[in-house]
Amino acid sequence: MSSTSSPIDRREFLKGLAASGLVIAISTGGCRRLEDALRGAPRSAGEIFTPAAYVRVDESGGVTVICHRSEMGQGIRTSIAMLVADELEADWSRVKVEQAPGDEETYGSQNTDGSRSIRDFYRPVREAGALARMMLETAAAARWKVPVGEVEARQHEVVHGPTGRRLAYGALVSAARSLAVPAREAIRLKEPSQFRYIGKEIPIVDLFDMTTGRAQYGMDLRREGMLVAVIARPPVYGGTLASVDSAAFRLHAAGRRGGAGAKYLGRDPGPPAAQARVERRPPRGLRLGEVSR
Amino acid sequence: MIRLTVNGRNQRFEGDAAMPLLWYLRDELGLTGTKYGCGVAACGACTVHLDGQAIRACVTPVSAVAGKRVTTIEGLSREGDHPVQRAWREHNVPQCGYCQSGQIMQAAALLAGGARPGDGEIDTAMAGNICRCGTYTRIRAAIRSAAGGRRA
Repeated sequence: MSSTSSPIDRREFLKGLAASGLVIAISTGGCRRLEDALRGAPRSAGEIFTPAAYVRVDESGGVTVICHRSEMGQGIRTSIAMLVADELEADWSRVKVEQAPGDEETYGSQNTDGSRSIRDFYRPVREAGALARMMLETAAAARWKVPVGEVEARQHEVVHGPTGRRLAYGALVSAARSLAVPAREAIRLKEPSQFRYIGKEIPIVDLFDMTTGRAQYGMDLRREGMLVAVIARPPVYGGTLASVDSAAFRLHAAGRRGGAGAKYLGRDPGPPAAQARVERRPPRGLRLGEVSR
Repeated sequence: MIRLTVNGRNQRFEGDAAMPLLWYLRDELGLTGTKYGCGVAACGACTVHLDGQAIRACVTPVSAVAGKRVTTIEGLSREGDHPVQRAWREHNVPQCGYCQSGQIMQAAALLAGGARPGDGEIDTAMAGNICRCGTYTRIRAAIRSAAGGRRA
């Protein structure tokens, strides 16, 4: 693997104040508009912000890793979180994974293929976790007025070696937020022998949801007023639509609970992939119209 | 009007009785744990229980379930702790997870009543449930585990 092939060679780290937590993002651009990006503020042309991953630590100590890659059974939601959590010295039980929305402007390309997610993000994602850890350590050292070299993050706490004093991550977030992000050259990553999670077998984060039907897939999304597209296929080869029975649509709509009702989308709604969220046969007995040949 | 119970709750269906049960569950009741895979009973992703038997919801019209009990993955156990679900987690079975609701429902029907199937019976019972990730060996191990660890 050549580091020059990485899409994030020119990366930098950004800190945000959103959601009253400590937020670390890595960016491929030169813009420091993390807060704008997180708030959805409009960005002017030329200020392209493409953070590739986030870690968020909130004031109750909860750690949220935002996974910007697509889960397809390769376990990336778990793997990305493991990378961040290991370098952050986070307690795995307090790590949650949040799926990034599909948003190229904010997250950069989220194309997930070619077994590239770990190859491309192994180091930068670890660096994001390490940066958050270093800022929490710095905040603790400042609180205790001791050299930062005397403190060490360990499982969701920063410990002062000489006195054994401890501060939980959550208690350090507000102080850490006000610190400058350390330079990339200053990042200290763990040695492989220090890994808690990387290289270990850990149940995937979606295990419970996937075994209870709660895991949400694209097809399961519901939006207010959303319609379910149905392709009415002609019963005979070469058949074309002759007429549409709007009364049938109204009848169908009437029987549906909470539905937005049936709407005729058009005679030729285009490629099924573009128009149909769900391809299915309309219920038999529902006459949508007449077909001629 | 069709009356049925879904996960122990009485339901009344007044739509087209030819509507496949799968769409009634997913679109009308919002029970999206049951998945659409092929639509022609060839993959098992839509497996639910009808009076305790595993069936394919995508080809079962609502008219066929009148007066019967339907159980979906959401209703298999209250806390998600059915022995099959627990075994699935012990063996870290799912990868993408899309087929797993159907796999679990098929396995739960197989083991209902304390059955202890051998590997051959497991393979036969599970043959209609396709997994694109290829989790079959873990599925078999989980079923053996849920059945009490007996190996045939």
